Amino acid sequence: MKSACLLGWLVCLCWPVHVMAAVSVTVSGDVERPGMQTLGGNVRLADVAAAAQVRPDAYMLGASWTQRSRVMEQRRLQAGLLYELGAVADQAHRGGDASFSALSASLRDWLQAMPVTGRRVARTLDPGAMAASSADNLPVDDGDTLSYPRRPSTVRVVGAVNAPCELPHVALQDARRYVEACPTRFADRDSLFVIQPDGQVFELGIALWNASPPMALAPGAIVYVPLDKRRTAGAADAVFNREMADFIATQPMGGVPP
Amino acid sequence: MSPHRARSYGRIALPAGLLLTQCIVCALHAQEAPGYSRNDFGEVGLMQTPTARMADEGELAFTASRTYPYTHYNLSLQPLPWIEGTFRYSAVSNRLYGPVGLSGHQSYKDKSIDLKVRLWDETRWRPAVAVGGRDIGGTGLFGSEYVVASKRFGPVDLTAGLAWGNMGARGDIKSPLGWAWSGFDHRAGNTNQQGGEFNTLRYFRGPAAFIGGIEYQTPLDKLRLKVELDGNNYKHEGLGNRFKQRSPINVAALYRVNDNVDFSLGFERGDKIMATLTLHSNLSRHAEPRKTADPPPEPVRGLAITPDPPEGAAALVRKPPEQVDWEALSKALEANAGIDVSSIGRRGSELVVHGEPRTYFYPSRTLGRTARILDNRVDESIDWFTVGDESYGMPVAEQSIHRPRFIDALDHRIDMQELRRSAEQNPPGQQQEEVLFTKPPKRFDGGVSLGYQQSLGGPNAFVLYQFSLNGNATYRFNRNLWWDGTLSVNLLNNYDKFTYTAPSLLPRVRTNIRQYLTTSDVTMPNFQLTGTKVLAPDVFGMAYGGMLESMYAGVGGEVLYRPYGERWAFGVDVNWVRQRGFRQDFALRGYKTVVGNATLYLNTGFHDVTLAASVGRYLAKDYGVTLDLSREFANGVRMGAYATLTNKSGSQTGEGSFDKGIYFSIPFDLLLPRSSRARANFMWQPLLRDGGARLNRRYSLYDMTSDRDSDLFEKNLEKSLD
Repeated sequence: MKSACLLGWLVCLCWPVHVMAAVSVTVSGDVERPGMQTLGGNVRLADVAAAAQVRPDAYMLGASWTQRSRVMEQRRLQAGLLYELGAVADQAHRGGDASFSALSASLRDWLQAMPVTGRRVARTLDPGAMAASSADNLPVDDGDTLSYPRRPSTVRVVGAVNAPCELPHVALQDARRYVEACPTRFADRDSLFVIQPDGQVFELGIALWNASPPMALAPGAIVYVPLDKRRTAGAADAVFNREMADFIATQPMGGVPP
Repeated sequence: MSPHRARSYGRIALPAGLLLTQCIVCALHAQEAPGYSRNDFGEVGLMQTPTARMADEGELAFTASRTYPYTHYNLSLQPLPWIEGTFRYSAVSNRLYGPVGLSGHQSYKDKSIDLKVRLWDETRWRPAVAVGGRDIGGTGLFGSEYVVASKRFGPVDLTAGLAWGNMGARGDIKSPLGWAWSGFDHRAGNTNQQGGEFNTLRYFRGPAAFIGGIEYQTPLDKLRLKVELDGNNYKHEGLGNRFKQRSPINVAALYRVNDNVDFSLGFERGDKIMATLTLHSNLSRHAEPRKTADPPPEPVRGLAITPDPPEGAAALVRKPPEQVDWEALSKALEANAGIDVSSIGRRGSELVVHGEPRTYFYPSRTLGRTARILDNRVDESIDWFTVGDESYGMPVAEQSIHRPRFIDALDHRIDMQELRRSAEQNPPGQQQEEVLFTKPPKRFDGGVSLGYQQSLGGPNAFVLYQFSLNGNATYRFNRNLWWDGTLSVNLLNNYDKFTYTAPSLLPRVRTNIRQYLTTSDVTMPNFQLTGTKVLAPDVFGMAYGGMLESMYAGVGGEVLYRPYGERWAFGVDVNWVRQRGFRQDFALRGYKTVVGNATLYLNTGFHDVTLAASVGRYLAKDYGVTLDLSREFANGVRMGAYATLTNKSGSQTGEGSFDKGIYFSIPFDLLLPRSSRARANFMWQPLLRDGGARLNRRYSLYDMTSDRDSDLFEKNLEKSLD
């Protein structure tokens, strides 16, 4: 009886614990008070943003939010891609295609240099919009980070390119135009992937038979030029390029190594 | 934030927001395949010819087109990404339907069915290729088969192919299949004067003609141009028509008025104007309108969005289950969660509400609202909430949700994936239960509704219609035994034109329809007593007797075995029926018979296609099989077709040959601002004949136990949160 009573008390104590415990969130970037924010109660994104005092000229589209709970899944994704790129390089090497093998190997090194962040794509991280909509004002966990960068003025083209390019952003210019300005090699002829600064990934058809309507990029966007599917076939699966784009999208804006 | 800051903030946030919106709009646009347009025959195509393109799955289109002397009314369905079906009424304006005495000056009407199948889709080098047939089962007036390939070059979509039959009447080349078998060299004349049979002896036979063309998307978003090579020479049209074709090249301009309406104007045969109007919509993507007429879901305490201090239901005191006012709670459940509660019980820390969900189409929504109501009134000793679905007194399935996880999900603390792991579906009655509350059923239910029925394409008039006022009443002796009655009063009709009685070589089991419709203005289509029982776990039973439908009275019963969690079910029904008097009162006529079916239902798991195959005896004492294939989309929309073949099919049945039809069914929930479990059913049955006629039973156990289908719950779990 006594133990049951004790258990009951414990249950009562535990129940609100996850609501009441203090959480610490690290905020960086264009904010008045960068660093760790420790808040109590039912802590939400807007509370953290308010505590850190996001500057009005911060670039809301490029804001990013990371969570520990997402890390494992993204680590697995990275490991799978590293393996596939290794296999692609190997296959090319065995086939005597040294330059494609070198490109795959360099993409592999590039991918390996990227940290696993745990970035979570939210609909908006704009403090004003989050305060206005409860569905966007998501709860935060201990150890989360928020970053509010400044507005960049460039767009980057990566992937099956001679060398990654950083190009000046031109308002409403189609993704294809950026790629034209950046020489590609071993690129897939049918599609491109666009990673907008808010972490959303889009596939665009670029051939005559599947041409998509033009898509404008936001400053800080990344265009991933996929590897030629015919060359990766046998070593990487059909969704390899999509997963590459998905992993690049986990990097906070400006976090992708050149 | 200082005023200065706020201003500059607004200045930057607004363009940024606009840009994001722009990007999203572009992106959504980018993900859509270009929507292709329809031809005169309602198929995705050019004007007279089809292309290998398909509409998006779930697309429904109505196309009306006119090119002298033909007016086509087409209904096209796209049940799967690679199958297109079209159903058509054609009017031939220079020919009469029949003798002036019977059908007046009504023009000739023809009905036809098309099928187009895409063999493979377009890739970089390979064009999309489709094969199909036009008027494959009708009188063969437009009977054609074709193979077409389409390839896109930016804004230009190029199509080339071969056509046989009417579409390929020019016969540019002799049969390309002749090398394989000499039988392909010659195309028989129309072997099928009755209509309605598949003209299998003619498919892909005889000489073929080249068809093809270009569909060009102009830089103006809404304007498309089409040029086509027509394979028909119009010299051997049906009904003895012979036309002169001045040019085999047809041209048209298509104006896309909006996402749902296309209008095109063209020039065919070198001397005829063509005009087409297409109304189209994608049923599978149709989202429900905002449910403004539903009561708002109860707010739950402790959420970021619930006002603090709580008010209304959220301010109630949470009590242990022994102290809860169950009477009041069951009323709240009925009003807000739409459950007609029969009992409430407890299994340890799980609370179970048994009852019949009557309001919400999605079981997850019923469960979500129930969980909110219970959470506001029951203390923390309960951590699982369960709704035990009953249907006409029979327990069907149980849906459960973990209380703390549900509250977390409402508070956006966990995502749908995690909530999915905390929601369950189970077969009913697995565990012992402590009953906390029981409620007797509502004895009497009644209502008045307007009814409309029509019959299309008959000899007397193109549309025969009737508006009626229907009174419905139900009296429940208990949850498993009830009486139903319907009284119908004719308000307005044009049945005075209805003088035609279809000829028949079989017992007149359906073709007496004219007498049933025209003899009396006040009818009683239904008057029956029905009882249900769960005979064993997963075995459901039903027995009924009375005036079962407008033409038949009798007694019958059905047993259905529907194992829980399986994708199949098996049912048997047997009915002794006797024909009713034409006045549809309690009088009976002499004809009596025993009918019944054994039916296997199989959800194939392939694109959510369900197959129902039944074997049995039909009203004209004929034996046969019925096959019914339907596709159900995630939002509950269904598209399907059925056909019945019996030992009396063919010449004995007369025109139409065998019973067949297509249907689609849209949940009212997708159309109305109020939740509803009813469906709008559209059935297209070319001809009502005596062969293969089934008894129109009011209830079917398969429909009654539809909540056993776990997909609707799983695919729409997010609706538990709104």
